[in-house]
Amino acid sequence: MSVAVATENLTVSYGSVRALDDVSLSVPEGTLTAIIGPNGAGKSTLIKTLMRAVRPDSGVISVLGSTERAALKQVAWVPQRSEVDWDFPVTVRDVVRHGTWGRLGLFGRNRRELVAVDTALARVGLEELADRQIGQLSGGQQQRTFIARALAQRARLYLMDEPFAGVDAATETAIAGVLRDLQREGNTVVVVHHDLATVRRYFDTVVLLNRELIACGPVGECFNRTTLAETYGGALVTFDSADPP
Amino acid sequence: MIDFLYEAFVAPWTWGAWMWRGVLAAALIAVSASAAGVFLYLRRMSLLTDALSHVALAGVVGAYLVTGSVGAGAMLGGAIVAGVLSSLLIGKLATHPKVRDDAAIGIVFTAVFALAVILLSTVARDVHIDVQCVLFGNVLGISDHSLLLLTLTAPMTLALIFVFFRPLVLSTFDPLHAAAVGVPVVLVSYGLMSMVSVTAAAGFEAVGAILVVAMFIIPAATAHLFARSVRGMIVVSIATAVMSAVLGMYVSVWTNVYSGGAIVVVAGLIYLLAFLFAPEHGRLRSPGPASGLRIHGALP
Repeated sequence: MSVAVATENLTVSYGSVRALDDVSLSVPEGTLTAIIGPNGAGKSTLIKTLMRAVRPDSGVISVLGSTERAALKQVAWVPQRSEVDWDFPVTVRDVVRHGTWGRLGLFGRNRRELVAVDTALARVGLEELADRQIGQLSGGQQQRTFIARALAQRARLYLMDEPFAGVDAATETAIAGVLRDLQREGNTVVVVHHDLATVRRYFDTVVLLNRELIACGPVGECFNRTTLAETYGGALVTFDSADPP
Repeated sequence: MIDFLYEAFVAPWTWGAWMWRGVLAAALIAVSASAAGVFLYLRRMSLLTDALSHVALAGVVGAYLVTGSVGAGAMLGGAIVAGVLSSLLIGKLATHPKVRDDAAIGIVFTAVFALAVILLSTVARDVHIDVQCVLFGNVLGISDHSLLLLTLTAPMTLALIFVFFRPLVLSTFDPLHAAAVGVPVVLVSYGLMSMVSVTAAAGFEAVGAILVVAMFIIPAATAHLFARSVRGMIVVSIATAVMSAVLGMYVSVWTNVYSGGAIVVVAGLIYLLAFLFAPEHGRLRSPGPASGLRIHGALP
């Protein structure tokens, strides 16, 4: 199986604060992967480094088998909701169109790309809301808007920063469904995730992170009491009821 | 009635070339500043324009020290170079994780401005720079050279925004996504800052360094209250800016007050009206279902 995301000895610092320390991991293509760890564990830093928005101190990153920046054209980025300017004057359809602009260049437009936008909107069920300004959407609809942009971009790897944060239960189920569909079509989805209770239900692969890599691999093998204790330290006790056996 | 309207709106144009030259200059600076201002506003970088206007003084002094001239060409050229260099310096500084963006702007521009003041009182003491003119402008006595400069920069700004519209929008809305799909985000950002420097420098003589800032910020802020797309926001921004320029000139002629000030006061009043009465966003509108959803959507 080929590798979607790989890092070797990746170290990242913000000034004198070390965010990631010597992280070597590999996520196979076609998986639905959760990155979990306590606050400040470097989860967001990891995916932002993969997006090349953060420059590592040292280490090698490869995405979809390439260490070149150009490989990112096939990588879709779904930002954390709090990082988006929801007052920005764009409609849902505009945001989804942005996904096609990378291929269209400065002025290009063609019918196929317009169809791609409509298809993406339909797949996340936002056709009716396509002309709404993005600030007028509910949390789940906002999340789906960015997933639709990713679909229109025709990405093979989806990096998402906390897509389940602050959405209601019904929306969570709907988003999980979209992620599973993406996987079924052969894409890789890597998600920063907070809710330990749902890791087994939604994901097949897990990356446990606390500045250093604790474990990385199939949920069945890597997601257990021992690795969680190592990742979260003593705080884990409170998670016992939701914890896997 | 007819006589009154004639006296108010037509007669001023017959009083001399300064009227149409002033309106033209103010309208041109309004067009380029308000269009570029939309992107600065959306990037939360409106105050960068304020900073750039301070750096201009250093540019003027620097140009004098290099060329020994205080002609319009040296002044504007110096201001442009200083603006672009300072923008590059801020950009470099702001990418450092320990330096906050707003502080980077504050540090660079106040330091450069202070340096200019020191130079003016020491090595450049015998240059008689009319600081009053640099800061407040003189749109009614605008020189041929400045008018020509504005006639060139305004269409150039619009053309650049038209050509690079998609990269500008992508990198303003979501820089990570923009960079992933191949937009040179850093280059776009420097390009935008350079455009602001050029526009600010060209606008000095028209409305002055301080008031050119208003032309960058106020029309864009007004447009944000109405617009549902970036394209629409640019159109509304330009329209309200030009309206402020023309109305402001009339007010200035009618009441015999300083033109730059009148233009900005009119722009501010237009913003106030939009703030109070704009559909959807207006503060005096009863909150309908749309605004209720907006509040819901804004929750983290």
